Amino acid sequence: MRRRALMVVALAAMATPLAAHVGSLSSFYEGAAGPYPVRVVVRPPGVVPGLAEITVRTSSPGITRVAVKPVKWDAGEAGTPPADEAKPVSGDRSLYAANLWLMTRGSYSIYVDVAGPHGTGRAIVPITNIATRRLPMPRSTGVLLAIFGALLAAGAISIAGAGARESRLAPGAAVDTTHRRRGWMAMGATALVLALMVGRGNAWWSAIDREYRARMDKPFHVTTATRDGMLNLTIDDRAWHDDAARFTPLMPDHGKLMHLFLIDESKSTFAHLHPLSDSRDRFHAALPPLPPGRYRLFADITHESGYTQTLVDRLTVPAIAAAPAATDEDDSWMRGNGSGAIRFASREPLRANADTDLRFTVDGTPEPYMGMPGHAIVVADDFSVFVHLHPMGSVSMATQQKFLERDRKQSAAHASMTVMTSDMLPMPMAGANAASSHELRFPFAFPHPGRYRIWVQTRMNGRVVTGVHDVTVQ
Amino acid sequence: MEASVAVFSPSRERAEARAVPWYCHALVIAASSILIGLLWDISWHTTIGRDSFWTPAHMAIYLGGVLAGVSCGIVVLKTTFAGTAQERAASVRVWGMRGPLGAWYAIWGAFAMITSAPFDDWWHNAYGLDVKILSPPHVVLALGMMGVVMGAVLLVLSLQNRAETGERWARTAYAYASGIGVAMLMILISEYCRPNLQHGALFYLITAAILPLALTALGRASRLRWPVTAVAACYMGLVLAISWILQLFPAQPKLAPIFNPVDHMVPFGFPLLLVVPAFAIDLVLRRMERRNDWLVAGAVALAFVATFVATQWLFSMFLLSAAADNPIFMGGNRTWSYGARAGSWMYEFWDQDTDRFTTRTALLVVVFAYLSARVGLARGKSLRQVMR
Repeated sequence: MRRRALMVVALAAMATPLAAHVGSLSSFYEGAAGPYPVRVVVRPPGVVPGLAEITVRTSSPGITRVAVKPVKWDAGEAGTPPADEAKPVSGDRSLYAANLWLMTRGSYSIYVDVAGPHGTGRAIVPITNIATRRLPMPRSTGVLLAIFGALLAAGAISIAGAGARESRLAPGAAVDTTHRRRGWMAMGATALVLALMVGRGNAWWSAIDREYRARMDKPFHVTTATRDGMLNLTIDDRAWHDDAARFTPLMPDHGKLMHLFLIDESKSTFAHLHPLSDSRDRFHAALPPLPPGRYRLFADITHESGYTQTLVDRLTVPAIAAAPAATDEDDSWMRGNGSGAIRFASREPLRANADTDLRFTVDGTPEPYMGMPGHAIVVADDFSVFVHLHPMGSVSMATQQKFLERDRKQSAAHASMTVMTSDMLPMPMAGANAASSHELRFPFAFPHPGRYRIWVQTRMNGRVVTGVHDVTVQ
Repeated sequence: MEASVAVFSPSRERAEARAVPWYCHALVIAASSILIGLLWDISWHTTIGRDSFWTPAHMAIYLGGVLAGVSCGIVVLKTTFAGTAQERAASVRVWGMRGPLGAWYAIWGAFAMITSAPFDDWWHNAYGLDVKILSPPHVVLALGMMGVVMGAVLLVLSLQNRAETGERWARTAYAYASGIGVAMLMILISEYCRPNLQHGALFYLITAAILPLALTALGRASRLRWPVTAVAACYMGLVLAISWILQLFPAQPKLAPIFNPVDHMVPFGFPLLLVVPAFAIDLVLRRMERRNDWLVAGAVALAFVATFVATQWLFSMFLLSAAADNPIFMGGNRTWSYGARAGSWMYEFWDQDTDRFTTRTALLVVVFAYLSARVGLARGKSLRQVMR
């Protein structure tokens, strides 16, 4: 088991994180719990079962209690233990924190209940809980275990020898040759058994590790192809076909079954499409007149359980002679540095893993684009991160509504509690935190340092406007 | 087996118990604490789900390990550096130090239990909480716990075999400690022993490979009149007592998703009816005392298989029926965790297509039981001679 430790570290170094929103597991929600504006961040652990960190920020005065509980989509609130109290974080009066065990994979929502002078309010924050990483063993633990293991092995051999050699002698009798020989034989046999056990133990550990990595959740496999200016996407993942009972059907999120983004390798061309579904597996969208080349594809889908995934692929877009009409009226695309009407306004430097807001000032009045005041797409330089954000955060509104619907069916007991989902919040801004109506703010935390490109889209005067900005995160 | 005639008198019993070295009592208590803690912990995870390092169940397990390690450590040090001639005579030498063999087993076991803790901690952070009882770190812990329990068994056995004062106490304590050992073994293979699996082949193959060995080896070294029955009775008594007591305590799941709302601590379940095959083995051993062990093994195997298969086949049907759905027999859904989705599968025999009990299975079961019994008889013969 000692060599295992080193192998494990080596393997872990090669492990790449895989996630629903690609590279960023956390859920961000900027909204309200009843009458209280809240900002909730849920950081799942990446191992299942594991402990998720939840932080709730609310600047309303007089809050008496903040409680959180994890609700699995198919168990509902009835199948959830009593809520845990989130404790205020020392040094920050408006921040509350709690840890919750998420025991299984799949679609959860964290119910955040806030009690205060205006009664009790609830916010529903969906989180897709998946296994994405395997922690390497720290060197010190590996060394400690190796030493202890060696001592235990040596001890076992010696004790076996002593037992065979002396334990059956009458008290006080001397050890004769026969017994001494028995002692050596017992030690030899024990050493052999131990060697076999360590070998089998190693093989067993490797098998568990392999099985864990294989089950680390990846998004569905897709195959994409272009023909006559149309993009055809097929979900050809075996799980979607053979294990259909595990997955609920797809449902639209802010009006669309799939939000598909095409970004070329140099990140100068950006397209936001909404494919139509031909069947459970096949989708198609008309390609805009994109410059030919290699593109990365990211497609966000949401299941009825609330489980969200980002499908990933690469494709080559050929030169398009005559672009067909757009499949969906909300499709958009652009090239270059984007509109100067949208400018980055956050204070830099930006730090990785720090809760922040991506602020953009807009010259003009943003109008709803697919029900949202704005959309932000954040992509890391090496495409290891892809996140699709809205001013309400990264959560799926459709999922929030689904959880609420299920609760209402399950019991009328919560009539006294006000639950707000993002669609109930006044336009144009979610929550009461907006500084001015010409600013778009997206709650986010960059998962790791590096360079990122952000595209921000909104609608002005009936047209989709896209701003582009590059940031360096420390 | 000698028939021993003794006059029972309370003061004599107390004098006997006092003559027993303090560390024998300590080790038997440690072994008991480990078993109680283990069954409590399993119940905790099945009912409440969430735990930390410091739950009472964990403390019972680690207390057992610490008590065993410290008391046997003291014994070894004392025997090595300040031992009387008698104490040194009744000890074995390991790494230049002296102590009873059972004490060495217990020290090793305690050390293994301690080693498993950081290993288990890392394992949970890397792979998540355990879905199965047996993971590599838990195997290390299990070996450690078995080390402590075997240490208790060997220690009281040597006391019994030396036939000094305290021997009568040691006879009972030996059956009791052996019962703890059998209970630990049964916990380790418990996922193959659910009533729902007792019309299948795998359950009988596994038990035939393990139980004749354990029962015969432990039973043969005892000086009680019905030793194997006594060991089986202790195993059943311990599991039943702990399960029944646990059920009395109200508890609530603290982890989602809850598909089976439990409101009291979930018990381990009814033990195997081992007293029946145990009694059959005792009868065989009494009748065939002077015969060749190869022959005896055959008789033991046949007696075991006939009684065990018949008993469990029928008893499991009872346990899955509505008649067993009460706190005494703990049938129905009383042993399922908070996360189990209720369904008819709880009351059915599983894997009837893939795990069929055929004639071939029956033959294999007898072969496994024979080999197991043969090894058990040999081990029992060695154990009979343990003096140190």
